[in-house]
This record gives sequence, C-alpha cells and structure tokens, in this order.
Amino acid sequence: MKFTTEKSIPYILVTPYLLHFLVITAFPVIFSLILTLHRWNLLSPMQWIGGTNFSTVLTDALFWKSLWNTIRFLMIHIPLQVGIALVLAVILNQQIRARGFFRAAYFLPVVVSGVVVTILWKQLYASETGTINALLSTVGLPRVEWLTSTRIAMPAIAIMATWKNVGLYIILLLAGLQSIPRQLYEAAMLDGAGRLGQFFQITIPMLNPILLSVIILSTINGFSLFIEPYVMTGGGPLNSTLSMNLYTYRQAFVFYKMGYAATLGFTMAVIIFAVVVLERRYVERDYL
Amino acid sequence: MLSCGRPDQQRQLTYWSATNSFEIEFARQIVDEWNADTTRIPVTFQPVPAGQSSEEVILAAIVGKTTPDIYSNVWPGVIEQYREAGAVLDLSQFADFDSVLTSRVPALLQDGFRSPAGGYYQMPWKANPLMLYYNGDLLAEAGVDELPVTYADFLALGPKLVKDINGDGHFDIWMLDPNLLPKWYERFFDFYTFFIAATAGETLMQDGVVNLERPETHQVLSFFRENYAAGYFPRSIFQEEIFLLDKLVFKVSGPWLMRHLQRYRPDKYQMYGVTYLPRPTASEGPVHSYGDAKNIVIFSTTRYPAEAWEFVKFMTSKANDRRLLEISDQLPLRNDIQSDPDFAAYFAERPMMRIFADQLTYTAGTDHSIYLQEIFDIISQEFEAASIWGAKEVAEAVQDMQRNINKLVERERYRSRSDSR
Repeated sequence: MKFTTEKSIPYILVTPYLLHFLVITAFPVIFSLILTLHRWNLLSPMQWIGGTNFSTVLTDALFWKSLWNTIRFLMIHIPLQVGIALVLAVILNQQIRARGFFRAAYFLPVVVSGVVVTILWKQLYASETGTINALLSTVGLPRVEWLTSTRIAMPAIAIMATWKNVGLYIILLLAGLQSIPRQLYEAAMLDGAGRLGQFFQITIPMLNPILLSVIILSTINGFSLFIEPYVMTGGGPLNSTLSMNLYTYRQAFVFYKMGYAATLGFTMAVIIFAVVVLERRYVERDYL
Repeated sequence: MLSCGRPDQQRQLTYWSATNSFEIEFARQIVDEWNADTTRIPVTFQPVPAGQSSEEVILAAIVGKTTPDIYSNVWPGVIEQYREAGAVLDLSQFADFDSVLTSRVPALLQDGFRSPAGGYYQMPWKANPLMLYYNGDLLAEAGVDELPVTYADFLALGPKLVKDINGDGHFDIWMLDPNLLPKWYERFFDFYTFFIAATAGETLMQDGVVNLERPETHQVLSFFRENYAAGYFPRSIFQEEIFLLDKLVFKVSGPWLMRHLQRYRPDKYQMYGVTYLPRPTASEGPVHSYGDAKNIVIFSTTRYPAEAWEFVKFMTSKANDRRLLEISDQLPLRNDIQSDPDFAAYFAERPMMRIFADQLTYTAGTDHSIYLQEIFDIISQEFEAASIWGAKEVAEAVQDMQRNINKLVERERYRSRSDSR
C-alpha cells in the first residue's frame, strides 16, 4: 500500500496528538476569542458587538477590584508558599528520622480534593464555633473574624491555599536540592564556609531554575484562585475575596454572559503572561 | 404480540423531577400509576442530572437540545429566559388550559405566573411560603409570651433573647441568621421576603419597571442593619444548622424545615412554632410573604405536546396534589386545600402545615425579567454593604440599588435595540 510509505508514517503517528490538540486546546481558544467579540447567553444566537466587551472591562469596577484582590492574595501566598516549601525541603533533605513519613504527610493535602479541604478549613475558621478560635480562647487570645473581616479574609484564604499546595513545591525543591553535587558543599566546607554561607552561596544559586519554576507555577495557580473563595466566602465580605476567576465564573455561569466572561478570561491570560515575564526577568537578572 | 396493550412502543415521554428524595418518591409513584394504564403514552422519569444547580443543567440541555419533555422543578424566575429562547411551550395553547388553571390555582396567584408577553409558559405546581419559625423554649426561658408583629416588637425582644452563655463577650444565642454569603439567590430568603411582607405583597416591579426608591426598601434595610449592629443577627458563617442547636430563636424558612425538626429534634419538636413575618408597622390585612414556587414546564423539543399536557394534568390532579403534600410537605398551588375534606386528615395530623397553607394565598413570587439574577446581585451587594456590614448608609444603598438596576436595564435595552437593527 502506497499510503503506508515511510514518509507517511510520521504523519500517522502525529495525528492522534494533533487531533487532541485541535479539539481540546486550539478550538476552545479560538472559539473563546470569537466569543469576546460577541454577546451570547447560550440560549439566544450570538450577536456581534465588536470591542464592546473589552471597553466594558476597562470601566468595570468589580473587575479591577477582583484583580486587586487576586494580587493581594498572590503577595501573601507566593512568599509564604515558596518560603515554607524551601525551608521544609531543606529540612527534609537532611538525614532526619521518619523522613519518608514527613514527605508523604506534607504531600497529602495536594491529593485531597480542593472542595473537601476548603470545607474543612471553613469549619476551622468559623468565628463562633471554629476550632482555631476555640484554641485561641483557651490561651486567652481574642477571637479572630477569619472569614468575615474584609482585612483578614483574603490572608486567611492564602494561608489555607498555602497549606493545601505547599507539598507539591516541597517535592519540586527536594528534587532540585538532590541534584546539587555534594562536592560543592565539601569544597565550601574546606574553604571555611558555614551553613548559612553554604545555603546562600551554593543552595540558592543552584536551586534558582527550580525556584523560578516554583514561583511561576505558584503565580499561575494563584491567579486561578476559585474554589476557596467560592466555597468559603462567596467572594465576600464586601467583595474582599472576589478573585478574578470567581468573577469570571459569575459572569459565565450565573449571569450567562459568555462573551464578557471570555473577555475576562483573555484579559486574565494577558495579565498572567505579563506577570510571569516580569518574574522571569527579575529572577534571572539577579541569579542567572 | 409482545407489545400488545401499548399503542406505540416508540412513543415515549421523558420527565425530569427534582433531586430530593421526597420528590423522587412522588415522581416514581405517579409515573408507575400513569404507566399502569397501557393505553397511555409511556413515561420514563429520572431526577434532573444536576450537581449543584439544576438551572445550569437545564440550560445546558436547552443549548444541546437534549431537554426532557416535562420538567417539574422550574423556578419561575428563569421562565422568561426560557421563553425568549423558545425553549418552553405556551401552555395556554391547550384548549382546556384556562379551565385547569382557574379550577386549581388560587385566583390571587394566577396572574403572577402569566408571562408579560402573554400566555403561560409554566404550570403553577407547588409553593413553599416562607414564614417565621420560632423556638418556643427559648422564648419561654426569656419570659416572652407575645410574638413580634412589627419591626419595633422584634427589636425590643433582642435584649431579652440574645445571650452570651460562656461569658466570652460574644453572643451565643441570636435572633435570626440571614445567610452572610453575598450570593444573589440568598436575598430571596431575607431582603425579598421581608420586602414582600412590608409592601403587602408587591414585588420589585411595577408596570415592568423596578421601583426600589420607596419607604419599604428603606425600612427593610434599616431593620436588618439595626439587628446586625446590635449583634442580634450573627456576622458569622455557620457550617451547622444553629436553629436545631437551640442557638437561634427565629428562623425564616419554608415548610421543608418541619421535616428536619421532626427528624433531628424529635424530643423537642412540639416546642417549635410558626408565625407570620414582622412588618414595619402594625397594619390591617393579611401578612404577605415570598411563595418560592416551583412549577412544571413542557419543553418545545417534545414531539408529543398534547400527551405531555395530559401527563401534566395527571400530575397536578387532586389525588396527586394530596400525594405530593403527604410525601413531601410541599403545598400544591390548589384552591382551598385547608377547607377541602380530601386534605383534612393531612392537616389534622400536621397542624403546623395549616398555617403555611393559610399563608399560601398571600404570597408573591418573582418578577418576570430576563435580568432577574443581575437585579438580585445588585440588591445583594447593597444589602451586604448597608445592612450586614453598615459600610454604607441605607439611603445611599437604596439610591445605588436603583441607579445600578436602571443602568443595567438601560444598557441591556440599548444593546437589544442595537442588535435588532
């Protein structure tokens, strides 16, 4: 058969992936792009409205609020997550007792359903009947309005998200730590470098590519903040935990404004891209 | 030979019910009874395949043209969207619709289900009027023997009823717990229910226009604001039902709560009671409330509209209305069920339900607007700011509510006009 000549085999082999890419990735992206120029509530036919959705984004106060909320979340979540993951990865890289157990324990929340974790933390955070406030009161500390204070609700969500995801970043950083040649530490010791010196002069520079990946992954995951505010606060109080994703979800699946929701999605993608580029430049400038 | 008795084995109706166990049981029973008569078109039934929101599933089904023939859990607030999309049938096309409607549904409620475009795109089926439950033991402990009729009465009860049991400086027993989450539909169970009571049954719209700049809006928002400010309503999100835990004196809910009380507090069930909602001032006439109706639609994808209508009539027959009431404690939208001898045994066994049945006549539903969710989202934002958190003055919140709703409606109208050019 001519069809199965040597030349055609690569095309046959690549076809399944190509089909998958076209159906699962390319089509939704192109369709969403088309949607941004239309008004569509799923029920009625799509209506062309040009760039109206984009101009609406610019004047939509709630969108800007949700963007600011997401940035607030990232400003707490990323340093907390990367810092804790780094410290724990360094500890778990030592010859400590029950190391395997701790590695598994820290990773466990990553594989637990996000909704389940969020519901459990909602109970922990409850003002009146929550476990955390009960513990605070036993040591004589005042109660904290974890989810009902405009100042505290987003940091509370960031703490919970850090607890949920930190295990993944510990594993990534552990892999990075284990790939650093031991000879570097031995040479540094011979040169009289202390533990802190070794950490800042060897560990951090050598971990830099992994750290960059961790920061970028944390940023992208952080921008997709949804389950936590959706389940815990509904975006309140006073929209203080309304994330960009939650706002987009509301526009799409509460008000059925598919065109506007697609526009918000694209705007978010541009913002994430810009932030990641900035992060790369900043981190690479300092260390690479 | 195997198909003898059935006129045509290919013909079939699909019926989706709600997902709660009571309505599934009701649906199962009526479908079995319907199908037992082999001269009728067979009906297959399943609960709506919904995760969180049945509206989302129905919407997806409309888009995908996979709707069932009949669906019995439609919230009237979405009917206009379905009608605009041509997804549901106008039931008034059936010759006997008017007589079925007028003979079954209380006259005062019939108009509330008519589309502004004319016609009826839903068969009024059942309602769950919202009323004020109370914990009789907590009232008795506080020496309260009169239930609140006005907002002033209610607020005056506050100091007697709220309590700090463990001495930590925070109340542990509250008056009422409106849901703190800023979700648009939550406002049907606090702001809107009290608004209907305050306006003696008027809804948000008059002559197709939302009118919130009226004294009752100010009164309702102020009532909640004062209660929150005094700590009578908790600014907390609870995972558990605190009314069942004797931490709440009053609760706004529909008849469905009775089953929970019976199930989870069988020891104290008798001390719970139901009364009418408080109003801004003592006034003559019945107290109104939100009806929270759920109705039946026939989707326009059906190939057998006449047969589907026959099934809907069967479903809403007197016998099946009684069955619905007995199985689910949900009130069928049927004339005079309190005085109908066929329902007497049920009400004798469940006297609390008689109060709900009395309330049923004086209920209002939702307005017919394709922007209803967004209107309620705007209300929810302002309610949260002014009443729950006191972050805004009530007058300013009312102004903003009205202005934002006007802007929304104007913007959508402008877009619709532009689109139609």
